[in-house]
Amino acid sequence: MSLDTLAQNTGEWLHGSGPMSDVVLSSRVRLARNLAEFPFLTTASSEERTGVYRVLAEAISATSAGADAFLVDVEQASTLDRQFLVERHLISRHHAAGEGSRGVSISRNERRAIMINEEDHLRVQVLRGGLQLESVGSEVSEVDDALGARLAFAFDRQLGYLTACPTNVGTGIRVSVMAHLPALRWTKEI
Amino acid sequence: MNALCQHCKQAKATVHITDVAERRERHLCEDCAEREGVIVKQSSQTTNAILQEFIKHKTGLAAVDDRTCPKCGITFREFRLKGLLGCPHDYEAFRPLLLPLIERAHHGATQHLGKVPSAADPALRKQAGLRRLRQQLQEAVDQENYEAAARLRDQLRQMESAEPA
Repeated sequence: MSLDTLAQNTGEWLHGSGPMSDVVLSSRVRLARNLAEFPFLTTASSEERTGVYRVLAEAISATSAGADAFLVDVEQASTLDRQFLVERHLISRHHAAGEGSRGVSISRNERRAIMINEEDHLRVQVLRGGLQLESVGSEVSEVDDALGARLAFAFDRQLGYLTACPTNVGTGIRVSVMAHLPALRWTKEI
Repeated sequence: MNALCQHCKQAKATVHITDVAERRERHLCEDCAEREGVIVKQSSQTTNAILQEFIKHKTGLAAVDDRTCPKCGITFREFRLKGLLGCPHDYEAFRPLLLPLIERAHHGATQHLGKVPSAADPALRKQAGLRRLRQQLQEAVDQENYEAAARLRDQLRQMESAEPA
């Protein structure tokens, strides 16, 4: 399995299917986690960064988080491949342009993408066509449970899951919906 | 005006103060005026630097900025400039400074009510569950959904009376 195989098809969310797909293009939930025993990437040495990569890549491949998925070493990937991953919404621009040891685990149907060493050690994303936030949310939560059973995530009783940026602290979740609203644009309502 | 300083009576008075409250005028030389704290003598410091010092002094940022996390070594200043923390322990080291920020970013909330790690100890999981139920109960009451509120209250009682898991 390689990126060439992905390029033959389009991701599930691009099929234009799913509930309310006439208005909602895609539903996305992302989750941020960090390993408790490593510093955040802002201060991590390159050895620590590689360590995070190794621990997470292993945990993903050993659990359902990595089911039917393959790992791409983003550090080694060509500029074209990185661009392709960004266009498919599988990695962020920040991740593509970054430096040092980093990667992404992508499920064959492109629904699930798990970035290693982006702003946080771990960024889990599930993306589906149409408006289906509940199923997307529960899939993200399953990945979190599978990995959380093996790994010690940085967590605080009061604040919740700890993230590099304090605005993400807590659940570490961000939910987004991409909607197509041409009439509102034409009439200058938004 | 070519008068001498009223204070030292030696140097030329170049600082003229009109005190409106006390209705009096004073004429001082630069040195005496500085000693009395009336003026700050021009030095090599730029206006910007002086302003920054003033703001720091006023807000207490100077002391705050130099706070350092004993684990990863970043200072609060570095965090302010980058917007990113250095390690999980920073939340401990900078907690009082971060709380207002977190509160703003989370619409006033500073207590996590969501998931707890599946590897966490059972007592912690129970505590988190209780907090979540209380929050839901409050929401149900606020929405005047008394049926749901009654159900949540019973659940809470049951959970509270249960042996610590």
